[in-house]
Amino acid sequence: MTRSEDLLADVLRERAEGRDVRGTPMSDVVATAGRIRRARRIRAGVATAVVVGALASPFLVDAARSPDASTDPAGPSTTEVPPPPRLQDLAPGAPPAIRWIDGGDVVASDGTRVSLPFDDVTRATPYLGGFLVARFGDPRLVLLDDRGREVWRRCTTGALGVSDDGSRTAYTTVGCGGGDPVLHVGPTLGTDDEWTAPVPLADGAPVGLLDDGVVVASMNTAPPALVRPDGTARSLDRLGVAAAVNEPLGLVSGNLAGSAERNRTGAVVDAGTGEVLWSEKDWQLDDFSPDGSSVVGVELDGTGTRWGVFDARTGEQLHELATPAGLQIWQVAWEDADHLLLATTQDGAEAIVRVSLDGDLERATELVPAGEGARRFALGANGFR
Amino acid sequence: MQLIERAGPDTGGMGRAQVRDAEFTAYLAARQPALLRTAYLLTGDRDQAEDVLQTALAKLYLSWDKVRDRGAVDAYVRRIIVNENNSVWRRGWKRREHATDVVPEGAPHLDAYDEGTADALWQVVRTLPRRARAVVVLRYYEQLTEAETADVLGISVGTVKSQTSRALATLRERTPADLDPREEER
Repeated sequence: MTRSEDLLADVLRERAEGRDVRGTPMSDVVATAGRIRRARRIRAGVATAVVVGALASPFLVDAARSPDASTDPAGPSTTEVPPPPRLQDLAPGAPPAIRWIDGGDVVASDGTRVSLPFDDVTRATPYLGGFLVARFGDPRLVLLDDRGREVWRRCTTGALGVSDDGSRTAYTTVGCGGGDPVLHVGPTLGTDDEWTAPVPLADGAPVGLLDDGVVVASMNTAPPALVRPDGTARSLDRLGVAAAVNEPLGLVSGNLAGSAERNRTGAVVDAGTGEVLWSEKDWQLDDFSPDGSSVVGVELDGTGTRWGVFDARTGEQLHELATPAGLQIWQVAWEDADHLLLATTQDGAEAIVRVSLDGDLERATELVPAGEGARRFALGANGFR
Repeated sequence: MQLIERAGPDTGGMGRAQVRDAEFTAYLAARQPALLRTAYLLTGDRDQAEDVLQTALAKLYLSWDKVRDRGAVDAYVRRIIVNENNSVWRRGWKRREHATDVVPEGAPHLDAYDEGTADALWQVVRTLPRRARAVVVLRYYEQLTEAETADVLGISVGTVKSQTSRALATLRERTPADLDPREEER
């Protein structure tokens, strides 16, 4: 570069990096996205009106009031819930009683730590006597042997699935340049062979394991499917997306397939029949409790602060919980039958928060600055104690 | 390392929206400061930069599932920022914007390189035409290649070269003698 180019680069750097940086909170981004989405729909409505003439008028009214429009973040629900405290105000409590990740350490419920040779672990689960590890920003899974030595790195489509008893783990591999994903299911311990099967979804990733197969779901619009060891698959086409499986009862939680309104409707289906057991409009369902009796969900009211615990079989709401406004929740896991753990960030800090079904909140980890890259804390899943 | 033969954590229970939001939030945390700085250099105004970035991030959020190549997100969002900045200007929302499509006559001409050089250079950058300023910021702040800059701006590499050349010439004309156009390549 010439001297003027160097100086120009220096000036730009000095000018830009001398600024204080005020980050835009996720909630503001989501709210702005909602406004943009509404504006786009109105524009789309206007365009349709031009095309179809008089018939468009009802459409425009419907568009403004349509369930699609209601998918945008809206104001808080009319039911008032007292605002919970901020993250930094929460009292410290006991460490998580399920496995969790602290930077590059996998921490057992008894506090035993296994240090992995990475410091940006987002997921880790025992596999073939070693660990399957996913890292922040890396599309590849790494398999480590029981001495922490790298066995392989393979591109993957996403999440790991683990059976309730922890004996089986499911993951997917895919060509790093694309291609059809392959499901792998193998033993957590020992060296038994894994079985593999094609995943019938372009970017399908395991959601969880049932007795007769693995539920895989896609980030695209294809419905989830149950993939069996013999390579056959059955679409769970009543769901647009699957969030979790309930191994004891053979259920799958998720949101309905179809219209935008149905996409905003949480549902539990019977994996055996594929039929919807119950559904709840404007809720997104997530994980089942350890005994499978209940399922947690969050209300799609744009705030992400209102949580409910429902009877897994009937949909009866058993508990209503509130999380602090502005809290970014990365992960949710049941700690036991009465507590949920949330991996969270707020105000540039992160912590794992414990929420009791009575509504009490406390921190299960220390409060640490949230870095600009990988989070330090992550949660384990059901069934791991 | 001695690994424990016991079941361990898995984080695979999140719904699609939560996974998306988690990914997006991670991206936000990691890249927002840098993107805001770029937006500031493009707009020349702190508040406008925040507005532009917020809108750009919102559009990115809406398209997040479509951006299959996570390695290309930065390029994608830079393109939105540039476009949004241009849109804002076209809509006349921010008439206090300093950049213009024509280099104004009588812009300050400085003939001494002193401690005020950075400010002087910055003032000249702010007077550059919008596209030229975008080229300068992407090339010399973001350190993008000519091809990458062309991709972000949706213009040809040749246009990037000519815009760069003209922008540098303008800067040399309007800034201290140390930035003599006859300087030698290093």
